Amino acid sequence: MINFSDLVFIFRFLPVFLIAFYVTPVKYRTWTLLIGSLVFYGVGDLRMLPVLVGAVVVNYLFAGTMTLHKKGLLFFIVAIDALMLAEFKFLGHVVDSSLMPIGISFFTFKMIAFQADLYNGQIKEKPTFRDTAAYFCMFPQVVSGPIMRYSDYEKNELLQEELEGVEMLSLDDKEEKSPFIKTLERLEDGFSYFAVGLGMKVLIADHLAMLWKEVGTIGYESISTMLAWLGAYAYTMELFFDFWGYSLMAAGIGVMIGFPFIVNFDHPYGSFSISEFYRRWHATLGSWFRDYVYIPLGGSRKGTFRTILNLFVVWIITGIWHGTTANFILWGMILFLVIVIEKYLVFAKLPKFLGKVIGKINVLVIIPLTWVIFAISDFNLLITYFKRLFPFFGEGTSVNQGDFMKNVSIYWYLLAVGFILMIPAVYKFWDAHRKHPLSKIFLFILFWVSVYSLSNAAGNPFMYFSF
Amino acid sequence: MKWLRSCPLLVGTAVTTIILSVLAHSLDTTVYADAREGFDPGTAPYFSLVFKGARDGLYPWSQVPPVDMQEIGAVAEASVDSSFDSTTNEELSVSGNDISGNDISGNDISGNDVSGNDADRTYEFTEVDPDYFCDALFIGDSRTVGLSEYCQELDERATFYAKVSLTLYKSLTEPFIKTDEGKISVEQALSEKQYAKIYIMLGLNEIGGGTPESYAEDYMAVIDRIRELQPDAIIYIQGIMHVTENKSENDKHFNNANINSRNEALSQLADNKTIFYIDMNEAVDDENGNLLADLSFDGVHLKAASYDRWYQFLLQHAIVK
Repeated sequence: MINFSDLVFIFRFLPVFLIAFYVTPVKYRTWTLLIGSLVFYGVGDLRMLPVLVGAVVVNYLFAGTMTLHKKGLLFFIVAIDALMLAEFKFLGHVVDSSLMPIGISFFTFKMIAFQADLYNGQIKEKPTFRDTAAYFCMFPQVVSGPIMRYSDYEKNELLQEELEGVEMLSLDDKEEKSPFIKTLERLEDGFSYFAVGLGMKVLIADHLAMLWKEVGTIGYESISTMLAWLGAYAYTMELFFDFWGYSLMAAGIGVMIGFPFIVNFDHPYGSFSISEFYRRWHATLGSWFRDYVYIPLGGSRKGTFRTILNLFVVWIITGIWHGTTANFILWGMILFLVIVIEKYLVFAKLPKFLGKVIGKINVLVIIPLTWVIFAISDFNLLITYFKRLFPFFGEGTSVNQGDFMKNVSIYWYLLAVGFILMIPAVYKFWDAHRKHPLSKIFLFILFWVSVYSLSNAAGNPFMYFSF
Repeated sequence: MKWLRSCPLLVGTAVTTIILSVLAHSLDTTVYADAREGFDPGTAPYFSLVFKGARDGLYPWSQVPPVDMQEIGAVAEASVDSSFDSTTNEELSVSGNDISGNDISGNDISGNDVSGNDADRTYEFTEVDPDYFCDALFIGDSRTVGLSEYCQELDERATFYAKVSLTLYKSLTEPFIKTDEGKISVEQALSEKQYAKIYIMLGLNEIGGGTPESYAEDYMAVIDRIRELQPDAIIYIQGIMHVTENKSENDKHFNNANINSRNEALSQLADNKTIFYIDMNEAVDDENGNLLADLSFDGVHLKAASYDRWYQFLLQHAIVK
């Protein structure tokens, strides 16, 4: 149930929670959010619930001291949070993966951001316990982000007593809308994003995952070079629609309960450089690193050497944050190198037009290759895969050249839809017209086709395991 | 109705959910009786029955065979594959009549044969050269598909009627063989062309349903039907290939204990005269009887480069009459 694309979540938890949330008087609504979130987390990972609760309590206790603006205290609590994250990552990696609490990477980053914002005065007063806890634990974000800032949490007028009734007086339309109609519109809008995200995740990502699995089943040493590239792009799309879809679902649920829409994916493949790509891919993580690592280290204000060093620190932490095996560090280091080359060579020395072309090639070719590194944690297998991508170092074994066309004939429509959706204008067009009746019909069909697909996968061990 | 205009998508979804739930509840002993088998309401809403049914071609207005109506009480005990029982029974009765016919024709063939009284002769496995497979047919699921794709020498010679996720129950009747005139079933194909050797490896996809004994019985019905269409063919029942240790230990259905008990039952079907049982697992197993982990990525399928082991095994375990 800890997954948004789970029918139990969609048809049981979410409606029950939403009704409870709106039935609760504003004064106690934050508690409903907190309790609902703890239930959500507990159902997913009861054994690790105490870790989340413990981290919340410790961070709340320290939050009070942040307003004293003592640097030592900030360092101390950030060190505690970072150590907790590192320890569980280590346990999860070395001992047993079940020892890593779900979402720890995300709620810890929220906690660090929260403490730093209090220290900097970005958050004016120390929030109450219920707000702090609800912000850290809120179920739309606790598993995989987005890493929303507390300032966005505060924008939720449904949780603030003093703002109750204000919306009744504000006349943003010509005719006054009752709070009930506004609530329905809010739910509808959030659900629209949820349906789009669900479709991306279930219909595109989960099905393209089968192509990537097929590449593994054949064995990397035996795939044709064409299939190796197809696999790289299929995995690139799978990852994109999995995470973008998830982020849209998370943002949609957030909108349903009054939070602002949090943009986590801003059409990254429309970027013209890799540095731009990572401002638009998992944007809340990128801005977290910018605000709480890169800028505190001096950013780009302390000369070329320090800038490169700071970028190095950011990318090595990014690599380790994603996973502790060597391929993630290699992944981070390659991105660091390309970003440095872009910054000091491509954009600094080359004509603007040529820089744009090279930057675009980086996004469309180097990024998919880095995802292959991201995907394959075994180093020898990774080398094998790259030998098939670039077949200059000998032939593969038992290669069937027909493997490319076979997979294209099975997956072409998913690849085509994925490719079209990677064009920023397509989504933007829908977003602008999402309240149009045709859009509603489209969403209705999309949602139920997704549910159909999930129905035949959930609880059915034979669905994805057909041999 | 202002509220309806403000959230048509939500209202539509809610109404659809209610309609589907009502359908699922009211038809769960008839149309969706099969879908309800093994369905855990804790893992998905009850209305998913409607979608599960739709995947198998069952809709709320579908006519259900009266058998199910009579046996509502017994439905709970039926196996996962109960939907196939009716077809299998038909095959059983048809082939039941034909078993005697086969016996007669078997005698006839041997009578006409040059070698004379071969009826009681049994054969031993010998090594053959690749051209042995020129008049061979392979029937199977994705594993056999892999064999055709990654064993060129065999693929150039033999015929393959294999399909991903093929089960025994659909092996003869599902039209999946592409011809110039459209898709035909194995049954149709076998009535048009004769093969000298027929290799079958099926059984993994359907391992979650029935018992080894019931499965062997159904398997024999399929073999009888093939025998009827191909009176002279040597039929090879291939034991189901194992899965890796890791897969075996973590899967309720797809584990080697289940595979071994099915293989044991299948091996009993051989008469060593015209029907032979071969088990290629010895070519791919580790010392504990699990598929060698290095040979497979997903624990179930051989990697492309590993199919040669299977092929070499077939070359060394052939029957020459």
